Amino acid sequence: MGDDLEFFDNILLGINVGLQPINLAYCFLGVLTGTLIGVLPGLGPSGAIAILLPLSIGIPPASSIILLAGIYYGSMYGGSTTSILVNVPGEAASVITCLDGFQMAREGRAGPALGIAAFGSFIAGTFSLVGLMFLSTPLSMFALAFGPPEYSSMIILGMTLVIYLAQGSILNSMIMAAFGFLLSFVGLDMFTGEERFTVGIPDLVRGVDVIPVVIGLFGVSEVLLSLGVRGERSIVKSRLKNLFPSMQDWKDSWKAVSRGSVVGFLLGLIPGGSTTLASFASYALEKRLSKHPERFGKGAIEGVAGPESANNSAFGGSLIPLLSLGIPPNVVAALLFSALMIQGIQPGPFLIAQHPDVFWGLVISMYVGNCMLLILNLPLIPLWVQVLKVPKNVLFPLILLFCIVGAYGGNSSTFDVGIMMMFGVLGYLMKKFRYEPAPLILGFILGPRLEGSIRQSLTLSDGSFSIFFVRPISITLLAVAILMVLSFLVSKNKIKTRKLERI
Amino acid sequence: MFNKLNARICAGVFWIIVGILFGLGSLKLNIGNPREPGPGLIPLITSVFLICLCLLSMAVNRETLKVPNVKDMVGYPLLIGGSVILYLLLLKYAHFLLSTVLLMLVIFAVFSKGEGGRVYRVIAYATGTAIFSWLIFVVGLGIPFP
Repeated sequence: MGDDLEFFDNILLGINVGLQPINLAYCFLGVLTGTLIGVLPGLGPSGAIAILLPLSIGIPPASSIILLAGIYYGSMYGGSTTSILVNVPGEAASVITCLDGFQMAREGRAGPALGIAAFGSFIAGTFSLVGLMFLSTPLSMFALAFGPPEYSSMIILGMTLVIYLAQGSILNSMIMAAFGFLLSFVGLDMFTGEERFTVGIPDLVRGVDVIPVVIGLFGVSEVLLSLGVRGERSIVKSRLKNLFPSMQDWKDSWKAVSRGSVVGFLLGLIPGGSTTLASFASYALEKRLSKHPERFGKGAIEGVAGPESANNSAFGGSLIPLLSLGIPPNVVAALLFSALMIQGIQPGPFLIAQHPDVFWGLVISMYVGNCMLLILNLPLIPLWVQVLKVPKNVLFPLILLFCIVGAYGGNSSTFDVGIMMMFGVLGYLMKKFRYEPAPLILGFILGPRLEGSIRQSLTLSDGSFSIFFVRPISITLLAVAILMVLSFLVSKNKIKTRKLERI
Repeated sequence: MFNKLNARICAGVFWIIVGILFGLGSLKLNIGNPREPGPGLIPLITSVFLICLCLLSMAVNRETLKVPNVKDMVGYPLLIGGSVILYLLLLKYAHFLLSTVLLMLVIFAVFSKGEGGRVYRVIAYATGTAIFSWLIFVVGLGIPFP
């Protein structure tokens, strides 16, 4: 009974925070900006949050996280619009929507495609918020039993999953993670105050700031990549009508929406399980379960409903490890982690207890934001179509200028702009050479925590590494990480053996 | 010449150099011992780990990554990067507005390459963008540029 009352008290607190006029305004600003950015191909939600992160510095923590979260799921909505109308994904998670969404638009069914994407996202978003509300508190209570060895093992497991699930070469992802850790060591040592790797540069004594790094890696690198892409986009010209899905559309897609919500939520929970992975997994599942899989790729409404539901649900799922354990499971969560740290709030088991206004305010504002998006997005689609016509050679220079101002504005430092440019060029080269930036960012953000946990553990155990293997939670987490690595090696070996057998 | 090199080897060598530099930096710090780990211990272990990963990657990853057009791949990004660095130096001596106009002239010129009537458009876009950003960021938000 006491727990129920506390739960309702928390909901009321969340309503009190989330429905404050200023927070409603930030929520609206976030979803509108996010949708705009999602509509414009080239700059994904990670880049958008990275560039707009400096805006969150001067505002209260709850408002800051509400704004940034709004930008993110607004961009999810916006990305589906450009996928359906232009066959160009606004962000990575909307890639799969192009397959069937654009085909539906070509058949004159752009309206139902956009409509089911919006409604499916709303339903899935609501589902994941319910999961967030009910799972976060028990998980954070469980995490209170964690000590430094458990945190070290959890971070190692989290990084193993991120590396395992990253696209491209696993070795390259591990290299990126190691580099991210090294980067995090620049500055003052947290235990002794000794300067590390500052090479005599005073600006490096405070460490490498996260804002210019993420703006460079995700914002500037996209601008540089766009230099190599020529040609303008052609937009489907058919009139948009029947934005509300018909009864038949609902009959065809309600199962895809339901399954997408669950798949997305579960994948969002695990480190490395990004919204992109969620949308691909949902599409593959729907195609596998469909009685007519040959319809997929030719305008099957389930091919839009499932992935769009999954990618929205994954966001809510990813907030659970971020806010309860302090482990960001993907890049966007890592950026939200940075935003909270900048505000002086440590994500983790104590967040909900010490800053209930931030957590519950965010939950309620996400409900509100989802409603805003549903109400706003559908009528504003003709406006987004006009925005799509802005030429790239105007858009990307503007984005670059915003990146420069964003990197400068954090500490009023031209050095930070230099760091941003350096990581922009590095990020550009990384993409050309097929190195993933996600493990780098996660390594950079989790590096101090991992180092601190390992050093504390060794001090507790008098220098013995066995402390990681004698504590039950720690050994379990490490065992899962080791099993993952072994399963990868075994599966790689099997593929090699099969190739040899064919010869 | 670069086209014919295995670009993966070049990338591997780059990361090895990064690992070596961090490793050497770690050795200058107090390594300590496992009972009392110093500030250099974890960075040293990470540097060695990075170098080992790079060597393994170079040995295992035999796929050659050919770079079709080095000039386009490296030239324009370096031009933009260099322009931004010059912009930062110019900001200390010239007003935000003038510096930004000059920077945006270069950026818009690069992005409008190959288009007809671009000179007037580039000048118009650069000037307009600089004025717009000055109004928003300097006058409106009060960001203290040098």
